[in-house]
Amino acid sequence: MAGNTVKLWSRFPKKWLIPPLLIAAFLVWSAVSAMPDDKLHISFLDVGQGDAILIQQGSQQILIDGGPDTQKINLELSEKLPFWDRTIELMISTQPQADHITGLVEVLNRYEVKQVLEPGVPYVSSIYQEWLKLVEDKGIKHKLARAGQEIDLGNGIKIEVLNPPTDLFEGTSSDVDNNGVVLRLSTGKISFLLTADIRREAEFELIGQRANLRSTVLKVAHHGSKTSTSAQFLAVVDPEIAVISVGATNPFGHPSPEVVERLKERLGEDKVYLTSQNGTIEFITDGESLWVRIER
Amino acid sequence: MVAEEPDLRGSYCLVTFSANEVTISNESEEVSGTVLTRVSRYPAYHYGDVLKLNGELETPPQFEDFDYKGYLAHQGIYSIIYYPKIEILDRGKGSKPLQWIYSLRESLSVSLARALPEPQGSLAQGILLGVRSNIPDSLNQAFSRTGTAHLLAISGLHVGIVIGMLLSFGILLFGRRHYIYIWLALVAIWLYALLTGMRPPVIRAAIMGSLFLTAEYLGRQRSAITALAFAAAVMVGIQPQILWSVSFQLSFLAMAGLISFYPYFQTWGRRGIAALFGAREKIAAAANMITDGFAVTLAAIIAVWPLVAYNFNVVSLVGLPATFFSLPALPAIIVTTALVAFAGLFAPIVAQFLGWIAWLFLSYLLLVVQGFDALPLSSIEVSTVPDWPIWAYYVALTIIIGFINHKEQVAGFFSKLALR
Repeated sequence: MAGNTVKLWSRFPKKWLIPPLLIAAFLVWSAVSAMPDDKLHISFLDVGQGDAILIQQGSQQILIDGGPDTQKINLELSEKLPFWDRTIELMISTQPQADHITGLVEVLNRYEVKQVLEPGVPYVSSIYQEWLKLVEDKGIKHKLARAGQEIDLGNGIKIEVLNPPTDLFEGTSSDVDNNGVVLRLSTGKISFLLTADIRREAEFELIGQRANLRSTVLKVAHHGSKTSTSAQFLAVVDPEIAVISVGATNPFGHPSPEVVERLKERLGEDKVYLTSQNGTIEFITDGESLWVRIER
Repeated sequence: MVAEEPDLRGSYCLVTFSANEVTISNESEEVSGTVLTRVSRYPAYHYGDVLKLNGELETPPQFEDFDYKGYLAHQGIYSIIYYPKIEILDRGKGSKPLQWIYSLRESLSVSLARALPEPQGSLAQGILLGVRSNIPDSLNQAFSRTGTAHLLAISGLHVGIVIGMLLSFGILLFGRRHYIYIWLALVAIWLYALLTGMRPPVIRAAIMGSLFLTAEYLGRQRSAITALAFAAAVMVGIQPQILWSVSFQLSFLAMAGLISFYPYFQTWGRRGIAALFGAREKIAAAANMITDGFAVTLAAIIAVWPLVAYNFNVVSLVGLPATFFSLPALPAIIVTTALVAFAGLFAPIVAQFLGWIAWLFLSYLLLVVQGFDALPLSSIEVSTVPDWPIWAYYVALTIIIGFINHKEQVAGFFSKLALR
């Protein structure tokens, strides 16, 4: 028996081993060069007129919104995630409108998502129904976001949920916008305030509650619309850097020149980033220092 | 009823709908005809869904640079409805085999999407299944600028590789007895053609492939040009409008180019190699492979470039080297993505591991195409080309082919003339 194996082995042309070995070598090389580092990465993905934010810590990923397009989000994710990683630990939909959730539907189709978090406000649209249906069909853990919750990422990195309040907003200029999920991500001295599409009403409510808003980086609410980012809110958050997630040409006139002016005046010309101008904006931090990497 | 699997685009989808009843101001009338509808991406509709559409029939618009109306008319579609109100009356009313094929196609494309990152995933869907809607526009353009778009379109090359795989598998299983492997391959060709959406190049390849297989079965000689002409005759006979389809034209010209020029280029190339490295056998063999590769590409390019310039307003200057470097990856891509797609149906974990190998080859293809695309002067954009130079080019080409194929007769004719 053993003799036979030896005989077979000696008859096996050795040069046939070369292609599989080459493939293995290339794969190992690509895998090593795509290995994640130990820093925290927060990327504001360029998905056009909408929001999509990816938080990466080691091989953990949190995706916040997916933008308005089914294709762009997947291209962006593929660029940021190592090629073997097909799992997203947490998906957060800050609100059910199409410019936040459309991309998430395709992500649910393609990746294994462990848990979803969303405000759960009443909203009727075919895309939101489709998203809910997929979450249910796939048996993904589904939680409602409410102020006071905390997500621990380990290594002293945590995410606090600041909005929506336990009693959802009702009768505001837009309840869907104001009940958006607001998150504060912090590690060491560095923090990020992610404000979804909330408007003045929710901003003033957050100020009134004396929520912990002060942050290094502010994701400007509602694509820089003039409905949000009041001077008072900006004063309380007191950011050093602002990011506006917005498409180059959009029918809403976002971002409002007024808001951009307000931000530039306060933070300085070169501290305001726009996904429409800079492409994907990636922040890298170890809790002490903060690096920014822009696409253009 | 939804007559075909809907064509998914970024944020909308196109549904071909065959109507059997129209109600205008409460008066119903039985009708027959197809209409194209543009609907939002979700909820998803499928082949065989019976729908009630409420909207306005419009004549397709004519754009400045694109005859959309004519394009649709060639497919037998004369009206379009934008975002109608839709009510689903029933599902699964299409023909069962078609329904099965379409759902298989969708499951395969989903398992590719799940196992591979982007744009490798959509590239795999395009190359293996002919699902091209997910391929980003920038990538599509990179392929056409580098003259490698034919790798994306499922054609004879793909069918050939699939058949080759199945034949060797069939021979391994059943041996050469009873010609079982031929029947197997015949069935497989047509299943693959159905699976990839029955586009003209695939049908052409399937007809030619079937003819070759039948020739093998009957022990007859094979003639490529006869098979090509037969395929063209059958397809035009069934659907005359197909003559105006660009993919039909490209597919036939490329094949005709291969048949007419490749043997000559190959001989010339080999002669050159023999003159250069005559004595050193190993080098000569390797060099032969390389020149053969260039010969194939050159033969096809000579036949199609004016038509590509006419239709897509681009002439690629790197088509020859780009194709030469990307072509070797194609069989590997087809084999590995096929394994990934099928494994994904049963064992997603296995599909993911296999996906890494497919990823490697797909990434190589992307590297080659994007690399050549990034070169300065990789392509020239041409403005609208008038008809007559195209015609003149092809007439000249035909005369040259006729001349080199019948060199002796022509020479004989002239010598006779001289003798008189």
